[in-house]
Amino acid sequence: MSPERESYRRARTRIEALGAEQSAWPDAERQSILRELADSDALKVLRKREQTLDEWLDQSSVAASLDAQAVALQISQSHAQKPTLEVRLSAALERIVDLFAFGSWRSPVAAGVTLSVGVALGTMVYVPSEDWSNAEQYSFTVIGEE
Amino acid sequence: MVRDESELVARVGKGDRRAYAGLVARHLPAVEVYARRFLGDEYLAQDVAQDVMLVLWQRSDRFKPEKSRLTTWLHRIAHNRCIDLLRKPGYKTLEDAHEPAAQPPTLQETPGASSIDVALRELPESQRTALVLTYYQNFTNREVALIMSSSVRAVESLLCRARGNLKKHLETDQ
Repeated sequence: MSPERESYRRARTRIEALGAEQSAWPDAERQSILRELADSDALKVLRKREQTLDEWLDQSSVAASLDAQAVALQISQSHAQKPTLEVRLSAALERIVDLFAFGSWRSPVAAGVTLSVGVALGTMVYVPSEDWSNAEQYSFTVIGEE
Repeated sequence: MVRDESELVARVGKGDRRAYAGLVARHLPAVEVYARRFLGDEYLAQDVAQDVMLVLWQRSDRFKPEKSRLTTWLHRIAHNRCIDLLRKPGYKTLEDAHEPAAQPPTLQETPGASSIDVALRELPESQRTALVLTYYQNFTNREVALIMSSSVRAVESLLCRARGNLKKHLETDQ
């Protein structure tokens, strides 16, 4: 398809999909659509039809009826938040830091707490209930050597 | 605005009720109107809108500002809730429930509904969603694709078909 035809096809599709109002068209394509419109009577007719449809669509009047302030208050007072584990851990760490630090000591204490938690986690040793470390890996018998 | 909103969402995650009230005031009306246009039922739409705001309060950490605007995320949740409701066995709007006839009523029978609301309700679900999100909620095709878990090309096709169907409706009305 030649670039001219492609440009015409895109203009037609945009008007058919998004309507006659140019503010509804993508910014990057508006000028190209307007150029196509200026050159084509068929597109002008199409735009007129879409304009009639837009006017009809504008007659729909559905309004919100909920009181936003009341909804916000009701939800925030009667429902607990459910943050992820990651968020909860981070909040707990912040609270610990706030508890022990103020002013210029805040950063060193934050680093200290984080480091301590890391070291504590890293030095945790799993003690197995049975020690298999010295057990022979394989046990086999060669046939005929019994 | 976007940066401002992601900061507000972060504050909501820390339990800041004032930040939450600000976000609810900003987004609840649009979400409620979207659900009402989608479901055609005022009370179910209110339930959906409140469910969405509950997710914002309880699970704000799931919002990823680098991936979408807050309004896109909230509409996506609303859209999924609406779909769940529509596909629930025995789904009935309150308007349906009050109607003694076997056939569900059209919006023409609903007081205050305009002919365009009737025509919108008669569109297939996916066409109605694409049109409402684009035309009334002012989302870009890319954002609509994100909300509908679809592609931009599919959204464009749905929009063309939705508007084509509405034009036919309009022409037969006149």
